Amino acid sequence: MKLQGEQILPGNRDRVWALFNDPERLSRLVPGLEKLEILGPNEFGGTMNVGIAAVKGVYTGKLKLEDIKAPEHYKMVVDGKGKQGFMRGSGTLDLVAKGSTETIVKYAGDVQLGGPIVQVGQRVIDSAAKMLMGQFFAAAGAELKAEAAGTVARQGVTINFFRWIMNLIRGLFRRS
Amino acid sequence: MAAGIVPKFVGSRVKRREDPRLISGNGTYVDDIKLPGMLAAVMLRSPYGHAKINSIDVEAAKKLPGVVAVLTGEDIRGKLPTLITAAPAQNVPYHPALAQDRVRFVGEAVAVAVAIDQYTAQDALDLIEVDYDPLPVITDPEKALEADAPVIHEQFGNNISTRAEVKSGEIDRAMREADRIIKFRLVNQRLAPVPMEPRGAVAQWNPGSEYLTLWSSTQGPHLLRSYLAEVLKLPEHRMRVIAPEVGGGFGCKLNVYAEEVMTAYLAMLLNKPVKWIERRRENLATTTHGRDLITYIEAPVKNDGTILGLKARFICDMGAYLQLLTPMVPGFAGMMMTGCYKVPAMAFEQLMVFTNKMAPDAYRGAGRPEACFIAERTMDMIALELNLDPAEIRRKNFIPKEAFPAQIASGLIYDSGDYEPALDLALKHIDYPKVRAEQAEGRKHGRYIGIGICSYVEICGIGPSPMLPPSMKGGGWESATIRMEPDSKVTVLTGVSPHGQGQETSFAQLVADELGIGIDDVTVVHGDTAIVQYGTGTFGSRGTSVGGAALMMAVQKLQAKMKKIASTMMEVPPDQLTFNNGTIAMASDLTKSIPLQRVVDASYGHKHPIPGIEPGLNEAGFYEPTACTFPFGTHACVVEVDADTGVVKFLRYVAVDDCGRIINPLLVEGQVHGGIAQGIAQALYEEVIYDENGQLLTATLMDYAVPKAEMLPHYELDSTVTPSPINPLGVKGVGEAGTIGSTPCVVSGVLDALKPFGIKNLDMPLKPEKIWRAIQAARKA
Repeated sequence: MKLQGEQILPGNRDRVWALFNDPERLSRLVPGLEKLEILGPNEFGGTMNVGIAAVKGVYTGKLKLEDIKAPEHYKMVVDGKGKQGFMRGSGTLDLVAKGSTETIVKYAGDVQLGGPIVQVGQRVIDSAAKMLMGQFFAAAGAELKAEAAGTVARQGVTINFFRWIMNLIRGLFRRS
Repeated sequence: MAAGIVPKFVGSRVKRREDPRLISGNGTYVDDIKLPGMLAAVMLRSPYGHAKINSIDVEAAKKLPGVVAVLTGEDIRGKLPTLITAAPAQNVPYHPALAQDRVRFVGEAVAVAVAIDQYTAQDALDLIEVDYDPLPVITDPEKALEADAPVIHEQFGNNISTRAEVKSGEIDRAMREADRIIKFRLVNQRLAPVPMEPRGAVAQWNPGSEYLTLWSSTQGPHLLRSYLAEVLKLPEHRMRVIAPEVGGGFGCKLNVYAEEVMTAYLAMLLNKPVKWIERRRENLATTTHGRDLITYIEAPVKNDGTILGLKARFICDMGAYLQLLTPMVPGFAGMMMTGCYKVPAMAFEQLMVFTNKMAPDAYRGAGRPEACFIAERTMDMIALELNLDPAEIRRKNFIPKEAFPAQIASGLIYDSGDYEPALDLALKHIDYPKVRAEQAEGRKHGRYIGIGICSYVEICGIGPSPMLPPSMKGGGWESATIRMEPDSKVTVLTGVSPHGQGQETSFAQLVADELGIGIDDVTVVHGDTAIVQYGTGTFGSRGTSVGGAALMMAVQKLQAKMKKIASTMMEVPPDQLTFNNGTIAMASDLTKSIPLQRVVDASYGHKHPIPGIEPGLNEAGFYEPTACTFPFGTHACVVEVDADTGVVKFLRYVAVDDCGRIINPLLVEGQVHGGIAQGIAQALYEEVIYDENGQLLTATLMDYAVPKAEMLPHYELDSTVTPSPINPLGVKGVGEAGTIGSTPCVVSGVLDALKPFGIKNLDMPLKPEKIWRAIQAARKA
């Protein structure tokens, strides 16, 4: 599965970079992420609870950051598995400043999925991945806004789902 | 048929006697077998297409309450030998029932959990930790031949299982003398047989008598018993294999599977009955697939359309391991690829290639759909290249009626045939000249009508035993026992193992007519090795032509014995007697008769023994066919392609089949209907897809496109009757004909519709998207 896209986040590049390098804050933003621990320099271990179509399950995996060029680029190498399948792949993250208050986040990756998750869910995997990405960016946007305003954003599965839906609806109006 | 007897049942539309119990929920399938203390086995399957197994930790799984045993490949290493391939191949890989060291396709069994029920066993699987190292995956058989391709079985050095060449006639001369050589590539995509009932097995071991009973959803219980005996090192007289109701086979249940071996092994190991039932996802991933053949064709032709020879290179995708007959199927395709045509020279090269996929094996037609596709696409290509009529090009090249029995280039001898009447009849039904005119008119207005024609011939009734692989158990013969019980009712034991073909009905029709009794006076028993004498089983449309012939032998022996008894009682020579309406009567005067029951009483009561005649009425027949039968026919269809959407719509579908003499037209039509449905499925809908990582993308029935009723046309059926001289019944076989004739017919029709766009060939399945893209590309060009 190839993933590619870009998103604009409300925050300057340094703040976005800081957020994307803070495991503790990230763990609250990634949908379904139950645990994120630091295994070593730039290496993390995590447990995620994700359901795609009828295939719901817990996945454990490792994430390694490589090729780090602060504050604009890193490469992620992912290796995870669960009872319902496995996931291996890598991707890149690039941050481009857009003025002084916004940052364009560009991501690209190639992920290999296997097991029942593919056999049952392959028709919806692409849209499921897009949804998860959308929820993550919605959460990140809220987090950065709160940070700028000096408040703390509420993070949770439900609220981030609504944030994502709201973003989609706003996107519809922007287009028209 | 005995002299003077008018058949009552043979030839008439007798309803299937199997159906009342099946449609009223009174059938017993493997999953209906419930034994006291029975355990459930569930397989852990590889999520990887190719990976090294570093370790498997089953400790947590074993500790789960209710779990009785957890086994991995290491537990059976040295105890269970490799699974069996009966067909000859040069490189035959070691194929353990549970993977050892490596997994080579998605779905390969890695471990088995046995528990008090399947839910507990499944929970146990979730606790097994397997540490895999993924290895490079190869799923494209042509790429698997490249020098730098990952090697699936390292001991062979490359991915070639077998390379074989067959050459006959002066093919090089044909190539030299041709006005032109037509070259093209054909793909028979990978298909899943999808029987309605998945596989399943129940095994029971009696340690006191050292006797194993195995219920399995199989097409050949005796073959399975012989192979299991070899693998489990058990004597065959202490093994009983039962094929209860079998909900469809289509070739995929003519095999010896890892799960059957493991179920039996576990029952013996644990001294408890064990059941394993396949789930649909397992069925799509780990039951043998079919077809998967890439062919490069070269056809030397004269400018008048005469074909001089046929040359083909086969790339056969064998998957990761070889199942029972995997290497045999492509050979059939090669031997039959010249179809119904005079082709004096032929040559084919087979390259059987390992890939990280499930093994294909026999699937309804097993080689003949591929062969027919080659022959018929070749005819269409010739017609297209030379701008000749596709019907006429076929007529021109047909083997003429006078040539039969006709030896074709591959050496096979076609028993009987008359191909033109079937073609004429099919063309008459669709009103060929009129529909061609409609097509021409339609094209002027952006209507794309296509006319598909397929004249097929296939090989059935296997067959002379030497035709089967030398290492295959059993033979090409078939067996039957007939027993007239003391109340003059009849029990028939047949060695074939019908699972939808309807022999409980057609065999009863034969017997009832022969013995002058009612059809309800006959019961046909099959599928139990402890009851039925050894038989080979049901496959290759052989049930009636071989099994029916064996039954006729047994019937004739019984008739002879009963006539001898009656002869003494009536004081009439036996050869003047006949069976009529519950009596044995004088053929010349049917009123001079004695009731059948009196003869039966005389035999069983034996109060007045006749010298030289044993008591009882029980006779057996073992029939070895001298040759195969070759059914044929022409299918024709009219389709319309919507150029804006690529959707194919059927306007007509006509099938004219010649399966020799017809015992029950209703059964024949049922077989043809089902066959056409599966053939159209290949042409338009179905395809097993693995991604480049070896992941199976068509692992559910949401993704694998088995057609629904509304996706299929109304079938208009007709027949010609050319009896086979090979067997006493004159029958040829019809189990696969529909599958063989329909696929090329539909492809021919769709491509004919697309002719104005200059589209010459498209690979199946001809899905709307594929057709639409081809039209878009053609319009841009």
